[in-house]
Amino acid sequence: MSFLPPSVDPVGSVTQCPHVRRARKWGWLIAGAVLAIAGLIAAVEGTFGVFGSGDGVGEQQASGTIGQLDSGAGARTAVFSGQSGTYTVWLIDGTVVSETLDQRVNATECFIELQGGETARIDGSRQAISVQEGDTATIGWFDAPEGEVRVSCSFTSFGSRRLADELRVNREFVVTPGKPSLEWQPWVALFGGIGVTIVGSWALRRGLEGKIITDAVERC
Amino acid sequence: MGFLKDLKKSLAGDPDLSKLTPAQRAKIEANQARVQSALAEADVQRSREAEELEVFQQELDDRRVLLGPAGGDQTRARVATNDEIRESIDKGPAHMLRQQLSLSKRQLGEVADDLTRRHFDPGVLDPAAWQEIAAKEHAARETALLAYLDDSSEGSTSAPIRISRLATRGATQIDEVAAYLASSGLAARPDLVFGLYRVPDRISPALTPNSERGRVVEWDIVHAVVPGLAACGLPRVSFIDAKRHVTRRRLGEPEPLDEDVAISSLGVAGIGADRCLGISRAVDVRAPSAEFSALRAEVAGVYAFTPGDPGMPTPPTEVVDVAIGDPPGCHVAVLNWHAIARVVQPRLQHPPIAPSPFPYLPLTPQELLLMYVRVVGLRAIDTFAAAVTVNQPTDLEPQDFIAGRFEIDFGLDSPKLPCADGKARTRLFGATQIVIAYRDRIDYQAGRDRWDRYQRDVLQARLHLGTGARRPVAADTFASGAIGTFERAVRKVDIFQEDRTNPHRYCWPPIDLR
Repeated sequence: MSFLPPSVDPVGSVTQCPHVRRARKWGWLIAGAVLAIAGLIAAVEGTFGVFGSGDGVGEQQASGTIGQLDSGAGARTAVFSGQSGTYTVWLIDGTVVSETLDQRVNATECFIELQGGETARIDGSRQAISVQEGDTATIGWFDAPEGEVRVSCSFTSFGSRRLADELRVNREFVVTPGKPSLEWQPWVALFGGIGVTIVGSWALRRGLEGKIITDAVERC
Repeated sequence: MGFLKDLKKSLAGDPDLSKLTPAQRAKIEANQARVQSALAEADVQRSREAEELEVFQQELDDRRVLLGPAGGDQTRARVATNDEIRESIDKGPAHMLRQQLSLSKRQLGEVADDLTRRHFDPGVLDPAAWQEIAAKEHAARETALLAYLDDSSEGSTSAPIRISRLATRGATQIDEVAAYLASSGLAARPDLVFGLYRVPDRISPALTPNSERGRVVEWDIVHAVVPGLAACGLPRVSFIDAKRHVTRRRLGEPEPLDEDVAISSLGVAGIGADRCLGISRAVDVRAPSAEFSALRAEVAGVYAFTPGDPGMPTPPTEVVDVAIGDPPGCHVAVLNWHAIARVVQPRLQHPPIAPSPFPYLPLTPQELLLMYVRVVGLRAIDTFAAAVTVNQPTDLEPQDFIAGRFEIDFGLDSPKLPCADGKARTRLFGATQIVIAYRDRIDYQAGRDRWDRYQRDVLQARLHLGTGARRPVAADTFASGAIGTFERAVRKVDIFQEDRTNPHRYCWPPIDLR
C-alpha cells in the first residue's frame, strides 16, 4: 500500500469483518427492476409513437386530387356516400419538409357539396391547428348529413411568392370520417416512462445499497 | 542668455537673491517657508503612516501560523524615510524610473512564476519511492518528537496508537462504522478509543458530485492497539443537526464548536469521556446544488458514539445549554492543518510532496493528530474527540486551476490513490484542521506546555492560530432591517433551503435577531 499516511492501517470494508454483512433489500431491488424495465419499455414505445411515421390517417372514405394554383389543372373531386357526421380532409403531400407542407396546407381550399344542396367551404389556413402524421396533414373538417358528398380542392395563392411553384403541382387528398385527434398517449408514454425509469433506478439503488447487518453477538 | 542662466541657477536650487528686488526676495522667502512647512507636515504624516504600518505588520506577525523556513518571505514592508525620499529625488527622475522598473520587473517575474509554476516541484511520483522517502522523513520527525514525550506519564500508554481506516459507502457509513466498532470489539472499550472521524476527503470526485450516497467514504478510528478483543454489541450513535437552533447565543458571543455541543449533550445524559467512544463532525463533501458542480466540504452536524450498553441514557439532541468556551472541565484543542497543507501538499488532488520541502513538518494531518495526542500524553479514557476535519464550508478545487494555469488537470494527471479497501481512486484532500477534545487533568497542562515547546522549537509554528474556531456570532449580510425580514421570509420558502448553510452552526439565528 503506498501514498498512505504512516500510522494509518487500512482495514478494508466492514463486510470483510466477522459477524458483519451487507443485506440487499430485495423488495426494493425487485420493485426497482420491474419499474425500470416497464419505464424503459414505455419510453421506447412513446418515442416511436411521437417520432415515428405513424399509421396513416385511418379509414379513407374517398380520395381526390387538388387542383394546381391558378389553373386548377389536374383537379379530381372526391365523391362518397356516408352517414351523417363529421369528416376530415387530409392533404397527402409526399414530403415531411415542414415549410413546404405548411405552405400547401395553408394554400388549400376545399368546396364541399352536401346532400340536399347545402355547401361548405374549408380553408387550410383557417384551422386552429393542422394535425400532421408523417407526410399527411389536415386541411380541415366539416359536418355532413347522410347522403352523397362531393369534395373539390385546389391550391390558392398563399404566402411567399418564392414558394408559388410548390403549388403548381398536383397532390392527393383523402376524406376520413370523424375529427382528427391529437395523439397524447405517446407523449404520456414517453415522459411517464422516463419518470418511472428514474423512480425504478432510485429503488434499484436503494436495494443495492442494502443495509448493514451485524449478526447477533454477545452484548457488551 | 542672462535670464536663462538665472533660471538654470534657480532650478538648481542656488538662486542669487542679492540680484532680486526686496519684493521678489520676500516672495521667494515666503515660498521657501511654505515648502519647509509642507515638508514638516509630510514628516509628521510619514511618521504616522510608519506607526500604522508597524501596527499592521505586528498584527500580521501575530496571525502568522508558520514561522521559520515554511513561513515564507518575512521581509517587512516599511515607509521610506525622508532622507531616502530626498536622496531619490536628488538622483533625478531617471533613477526613480529605474527603481520603479526594477520593482515592476520583480513583481512581473513573481506573477509569471505563479502562472507557469516553474518553481513547483511535484517531488517523486513513483509510489514505492514516495513511500520510502516519506518513511525516512517520518522517522526523523519521530526522533525529534521523542524529546517532548513524557515517559513517566500514564498517558504514554504502552499500547501503540494506530489509526484504522475503514472504507464505507456514503449511504450506510454510520451503520458500517458502528458495525466495525462492534466487530472489532472497540465499541465496548472507550478506554482504548481516542476518537473517530469521517476522513474529509472526496473520493472519486468526478462521479455524482451532488451526492456521496454511492461513493466510498472513509472513516478513521484512532485507538490503542490491544490484540484479542472479542466482538461486542453495536454502539449507540446520536446526531445533532447543525441547522437546528440547539443553543442560545447573542451577537458577538463565540459560536459553539461541534464538539462543545456534543460534549454538553452527553453531559446532560451523564455520559463523560470514559463512556464516550468518539465525537465526529458529520462532514459532507459534495456540490451543494444541482446547478453547481464545485465540490464543497461542510459540516452538517455532529455524531456522538457511545457504547451500546442497555442502561446507557440517550443524550438530548434538540436543546442543549452549551457554555461559552471550553465545556466545563474539558479542553478542546483546534490545530490549523490548512497552513501546513499549503506548504507540504499544495495540490489537493495529489499526495503530499516527497521529499518534503519542509521535512520538519508533519506530512499528513493524521501524523499531526498523533503528535498532539502523544506529546500531551492523552489517555483514551479522557478523550471525547480526536479528529481530522473541517470547519467552515470549504470549496475543494484542484489547485492548479486556482493558480491560474487555466486547465483543470483533474482526471487527466490526477493520480489514483489507494483507498482503505485496496482500490485506487482519484481523491481530493479536504482536511483543514485537527480537533482534540478531552477531559482535562492537571498533568495535561504539563503536556500542553510540552506541546507549546515542540510547536515553537521543532514545528516552528503556532497551530492554534487561524483556525476560525469559536468565531464571534455575527449577523449575515441581510440579517437586519426590512431586507433582513425579507431575506428570512425568502429562506423559509426557498426550495433550495436544504442546501443553504447557516452562518453559524447550532445557534442560528442568534437570540438578538429572532
